[in-house]
Parts: sequence; C-alpha cells; structure tokens
Amino acid sequence: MADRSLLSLLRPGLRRPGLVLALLLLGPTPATVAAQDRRAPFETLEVMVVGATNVNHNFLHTFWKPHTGGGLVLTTPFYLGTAEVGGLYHEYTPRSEGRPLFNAFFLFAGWGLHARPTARISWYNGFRVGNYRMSFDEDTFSGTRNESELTFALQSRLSLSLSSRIAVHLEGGYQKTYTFLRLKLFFVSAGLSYRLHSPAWLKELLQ
Amino acid sequence: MKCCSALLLLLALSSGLVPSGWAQHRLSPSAAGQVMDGAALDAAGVTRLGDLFTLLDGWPSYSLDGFTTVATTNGLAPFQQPNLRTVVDGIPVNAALFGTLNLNALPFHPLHVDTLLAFQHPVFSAGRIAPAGALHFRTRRPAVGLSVRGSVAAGNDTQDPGPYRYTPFATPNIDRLGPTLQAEASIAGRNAYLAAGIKTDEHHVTDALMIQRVYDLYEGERKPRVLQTAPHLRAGIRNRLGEHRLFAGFSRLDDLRYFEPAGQEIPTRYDFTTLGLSGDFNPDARHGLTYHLSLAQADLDTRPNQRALDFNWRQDRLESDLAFRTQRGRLYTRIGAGLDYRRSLTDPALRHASLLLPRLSLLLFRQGRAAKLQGVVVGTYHRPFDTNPARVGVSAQGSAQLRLSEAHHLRASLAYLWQGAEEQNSLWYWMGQGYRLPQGDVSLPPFFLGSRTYTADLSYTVRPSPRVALTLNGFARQFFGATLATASYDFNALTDGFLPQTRVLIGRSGRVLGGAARLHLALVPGFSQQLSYTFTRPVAGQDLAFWEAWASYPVHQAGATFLFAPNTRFSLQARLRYQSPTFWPGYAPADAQTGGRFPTRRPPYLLLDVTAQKRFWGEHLRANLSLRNAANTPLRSHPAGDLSHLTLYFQLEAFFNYHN
Repeated sequence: MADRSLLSLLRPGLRRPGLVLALLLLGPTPATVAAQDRRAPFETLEVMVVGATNVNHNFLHTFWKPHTGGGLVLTTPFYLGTAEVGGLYHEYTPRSEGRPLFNAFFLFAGWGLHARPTARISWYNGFRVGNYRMSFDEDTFSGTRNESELTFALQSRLSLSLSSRIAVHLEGGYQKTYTFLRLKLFFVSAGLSYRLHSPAWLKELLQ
Repeated sequence: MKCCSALLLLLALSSGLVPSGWAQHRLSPSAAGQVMDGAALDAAGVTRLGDLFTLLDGWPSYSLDGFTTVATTNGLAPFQQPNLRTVVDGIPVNAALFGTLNLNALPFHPLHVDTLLAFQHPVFSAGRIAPAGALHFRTRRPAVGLSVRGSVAAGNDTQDPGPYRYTPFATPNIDRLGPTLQAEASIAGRNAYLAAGIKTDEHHVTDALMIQRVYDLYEGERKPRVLQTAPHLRAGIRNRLGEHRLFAGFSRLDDLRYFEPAGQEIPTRYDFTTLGLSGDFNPDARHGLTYHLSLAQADLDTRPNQRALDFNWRQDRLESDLAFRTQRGRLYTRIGAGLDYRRSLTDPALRHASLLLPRLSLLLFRQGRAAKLQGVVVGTYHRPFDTNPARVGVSAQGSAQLRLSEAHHLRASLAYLWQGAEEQNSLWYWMGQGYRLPQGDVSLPPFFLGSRTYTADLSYTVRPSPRVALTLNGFARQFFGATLATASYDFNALTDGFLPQTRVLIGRSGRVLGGAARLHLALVPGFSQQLSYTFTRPVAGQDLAFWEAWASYPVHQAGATFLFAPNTRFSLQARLRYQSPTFWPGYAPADAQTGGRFPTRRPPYLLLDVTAQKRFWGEHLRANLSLRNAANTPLRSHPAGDLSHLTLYFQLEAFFNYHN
C-alpha cells in the first residue's frame, strides 16, 4: 500500500538512527541558526553544477535502470537559511522490451540551513519540493507523452571552499515522488560551484 | 497593514455610523462577522472562490467533484438548502441555482477581493435579513493610474501511475487541476475607477468512482472537464455627495454537476449574467439615501450529452432597495423600500412563473457609551398563490452589544424569520409549479408553506492585550414548518450512478444548538495564530426528516491557522482543519448493493494546507507554492464524491501600474 503521510519521508531515516541524529543535530537548532550566512538576502548567488547517480534498488528498478544524470542548482541567502532552485535530469532505460525509455526532470525549490564546523567546510541540510516531469518515448494517455508528479527530497551536502568563490560539494539525497506507487530514490551527487555577487537587477527582482 | 484596515473596517461597521468612503458599504452598523482581507487570501494561495470555505472557521462544506463546493454555517441551514446571500460591493449578486450556490460561478477571482465579511448568523444585508448568513465581498480598488493585474494557477493531484503505467501495476491517471487564469485592466483616479477583467478555469474529472457516471452522459472528444469563462466590469465614483458603484459580469460554466434528484452528473451549460448598482447620497452629515439595484439572469441550458437531457430553465431576477437614513443625536434610523422580482421560464410554462415581493424595512440603531442597540423589522408582501392566502411576512432581528469594560464585550442577537415558500427559490417549489426535471423521481407535497425560524446568538469577547483575543459564542436555532427532502439512493448498474427516490416534506420542525470558541494570538512579531472550535448539534426530537437533513453536518469542527510573515516580502502559512464524521443515510441502499462502495459514514478528517508566498520585483510579481492536504489524507467528503490527496498548487501573479 502506498505511503499516506509526509512523515513517511522520514521512514528511511528512522531505520537509520545515525542519519536522524545527524539531521537533528544539524537542523534548525540555535547553534545552526546562528551559524547561517550573515549576508543579506539574495546578496550572493552560488551557481552549482552537479552530477548525480542513483544508488538504491527497489521496485522501480525491476523495470527501469536509472543512469547518472546531472543538473544545475542556484542557491542564495534567504531571510533565514538558504534558498535554492534548480533542475536535475535523469534518464531511465527499460530492462525489458515493451516498456518505453523515459527522461525525468526534477524542477524544484528548496530551503535549508548550514552548519560550519570550520571556516572552509560547511554542511547543508534541507529539503526540496517540486515537480517531477517524466517524458516517455511513446504516448501515455490520449496523445500525451508526459506525466508530472509532486516530489519531495531531503538533501545533505558537505562543501569544501577552495577559494572565496569556488567550492566542491558532495551530496546525498532522498527523493520521493508521489505516484500511486511511490518512486523512492537515493542519490549521491558531486558538484562544483562558483559564487558571485548578485547583480543589482537580480537583487531587485528577488527582493 | 491590510489586516489592520480590515479590522478597522469591521470596527467601523460595528461601531455605529460610518461615513461615506471607499472603505465601507451600507451594512448593518452593528453587524459582526469574520473578516478576511486580500492579504490573507494571498498568503493562503487561494485560486478559486470556493476555496474560501476552507479558510473560514465554522463553515462546513463538501464537494463531489472538487470544483462545486456546498457550504453552510452555524446551523442556519442544512446542506440541501444553504441559501447563502452573496453581496459584491454592496450589490446582491445571486448566482445560486435552485437555492444552492457554487461560489466559483461568481464572475470574479479571489485576487479581486479586498475584504470578505462572513456572517454566521442572520444579518441585515442590503435591505433584507439574510436568514442563512451572508458573504460580503469588497473588491480591490484599482491603483491610481493605468494598471494590469493577471495570474495563472494550476494544481497537480498526486497518485498518478507514473512509469508504472507500462507495468502490470498500472492505475488510472489523475489529471491536473486548472489552469485558472485571470487578468484585469483598470484605470483609476483618486475619486473614480473602471476595471475590466476575465477569469477562465478548467477542472478535470478523473476520479475512478465518478468517471463512469460522468461518461454515461458526457459527449465530447476531449476528456470530461468543467470549463469556465467569466468576464466582469466594475466601476466606482465618489464625490462630496456620495459614492456609487457598478458591478457587471457574465459567467459561462460548462459544468458536469451532480444533481442529487437525478442521481448522477449531468452535463449542463450554466450562463449567469449580472448587472448591479449600489451607492449613497449624503447631502449632509445627518441624512442620506442608500440604494442598490441588481439584475441577473440564470440560464441552465443544454451541454451536449448522450441522452439530450435538457434542464430548459431560465430565471430572471431583479432585486432593489432604496433607503432613507437619518441621525438624531445617538439614534440612527434607516427606512427602506425594496422589491424582488423573479420570472422563471421553462417549457411547458409554470403555473406561477412570476414572483413579485415588495418589501419595507425599518432599522433603528442607538449607540451609547457602553452599549449599542439595533433593531430591524422587515415586512414582505406575499401575493396569494396555490392555496396560500396573501399575507405580509414579517422578519425581525435585534442585537445588543455591551462593553463591560475596555477588554470585555458581550453581544447578543435574536432573530425571527418568516420566509414564504416562493421566497426560498428552491427546486422543489418550482417543481410544484410545474417544472420538470429531465431525470429523477421526486414525490412532492400537494402544497408548500412558509417557514418560521428563531435564532439566538450570544458571544463574549475578551482582549486582555492588543495581541490576544478570545471569543466564545453560543447559538440556538429553532425551525418550524421547514421544507426538507429525504432521498433514498439505489445503485444503478447501467450508469454507475443512482436511482434516487426523493420525497419532499413540508412542516418539519427541529432545533440546532451549538457553540464556538476562537482564540487569536500574535505574541511574537511576524508570527500569528488563530485557533477555533465549533460545535453544532441538531436536536430533532421525533422528526426523522430533520435528523436526516442535518446528519451530513459535522458536529465538531476545529481549525488552526499559523502565519509566519517575517517581512512583507515572504510568508509561510499553515492551516490545520478537523471535522468529525458525517452521515449520509440516503446512500445506505447503494452502499449495501455495492458491497461498501458508497459508505454512508464519512470518517473524521484532519487536513493540513501549507502555503509559501514570495514577492519578487517590488510589487510586480508574487508567487505561491501550496501543498493542500499535505498530510495526504484520502479525502472523500461525500459518499459519491471524488477522492483527493496531497496536491501541489502553484500560482503566479503579475501586477503593473503606470501613473504620472
């Protein structure tokens, strides 16, 4: 039976007490809140290019094989914490004939908090919510080749600053798509980011 | 600031004489109701007017298709005949069909609403006493200069099959909600404005329980959907002598509405046209005239369907009122005269197709240092029809508001309402006059009678600080001579719908008791909470029909709204709602015949809606992301209704203004 609650997002974590503990410790505690970026909202923009690979195996993988994908994530200081928007692309090839190949594009907005154990290392924990658009290479329903579904994701990202502008990232994420039979995917991703001061027009747009 | 202005509006309305200006309309000076301003609607991510019932406390509602919402309040009427009064900019806009209103049929969008006043007790509203409560909308006054405002919104219900569509585990597709689009262009000066706009909407029917019923009659190449196009025009002008407003609109609703006496969804085209004026003349500070004139046409016509069912129904409506106001010392007097006219056209013609209801009203209001007293008497002349003699139906309402101290207030309201059978505009009445439903078996009484209702409301408000307010409310309603319907729904295997047998009964009596508590807290800057609980219980005695009519009304309702708005650019709102089980005894036969497909008991629901709102580019752009039913409760509010789940909504609004 399909999961019925958003709380079920936490179930994989509940089977991993260490993960829950880490999320709680790095969650919105006074210490982590105090450790947030002191920049004004939308003062900077971090452009991150990531590659992501799926690392779990479940019912979906009986029928399709996900390939390593990638995407673009933009992050910026929010009123509290950090906001992000982005898109991630993956391709799924069928494991048997008679099923179509499909591409999935996760378009999301997210929010999270940073912890900074050292000046060069930061640990980000947050969530994403967005639309998972699946494009099939044959018609699904009466002439349409696409389906969209609500998707939530929990992210945990470790970042190492190489300079004041450039950083490398290692990230783990759990993503749940609310199809009737849920698509539950764990991803590990790595990326490189470049931080710039937001241009005036962008700040005006975002503020 | 908008919240403050809405509160000020309510205070102004409840505090006595209100000077002319944009900010108020001629409501009863001591009226008291729930206030919701445009900022609150924005923060909640409302995309359809029907969504308003999920934000108001103590308005239980149900929907079969997720588009048409039937709502009632505080025990004033059962779901089958809510007769809710809707007033837009002081103009009655009655889009109800056979006494039941689909709020979405009104030709404007929630983003056009500046303030909503929701009354949960009989209230003097635009020249008459609204027996089942009222919704008063004040539309946004356009910004000075040339402006354009538009929005697009769409929702996506979860539970699609996704890639499993191509596996043995395929499930039916759940289609999107919307898109809902609206645009309005306006030109405004300091003392006049003119705005023209349009909204369009789509709603898809994909629920497995409903789709077969719908396909039984639906005819069309595209998948079944409700379509709406609704343009409107509004204008206002004011000078030192007064203020005048105009609202005109047209709403075409290609509907798939479930008609209970027919036992299934019937494709219909509902065209609603309205044109109204309201205003005030104030030659001096102590005297004035208030008026409104509202013309409407409700046309229920054929939408292509497989059995060529045609409702063949049109009703022309006129409502007017002219009142003289005067103030002497602390006494405010309003003497009004009005006229309701309705003409119903169908084939064959009705026995009494036209109704003329002249009306006189007298309102007295006195404001003292610690008390505000108000009395209203409305007399309506009912012409003889059928076996009923001519008579003057009198309704009266009185209220007192006492200020016990700076922080403690007491308010009491009593009402006696007499409604003629023809006044309620029910389907049953018109069937009694010869109207033929295209489908359905309805047993009518040999004649119809007027009904009497007594209501009492007592509320106590304490404000220990400006940031805390607690209101306790108790109410009682006593109904005599009510016309109610009982129905038994057998399952129809041919259509996947029902074979209802409906009996309309007159002279039913019963009592409804209830209470409510509301707590508003704003202790932390940027964070506010509102908690509410409403208890409503019918005391039907031996009258089974009365009990059945009220069984689908939840006894307990609770709501909690949490708003986090650290600044004017961003807000996060969560709204938690609870309602106790409801019972739909008429569906017991169908339930038994189908092995439990239409359970007569709907379980209690706990629903959570979460909305994040962010403004961009100054005041030009505003985006909403909403998770409705975020706890993913499988929600079916009616035994024959659709099943909804967690839904993602997105709304983007754009606003541009130019002035020198």
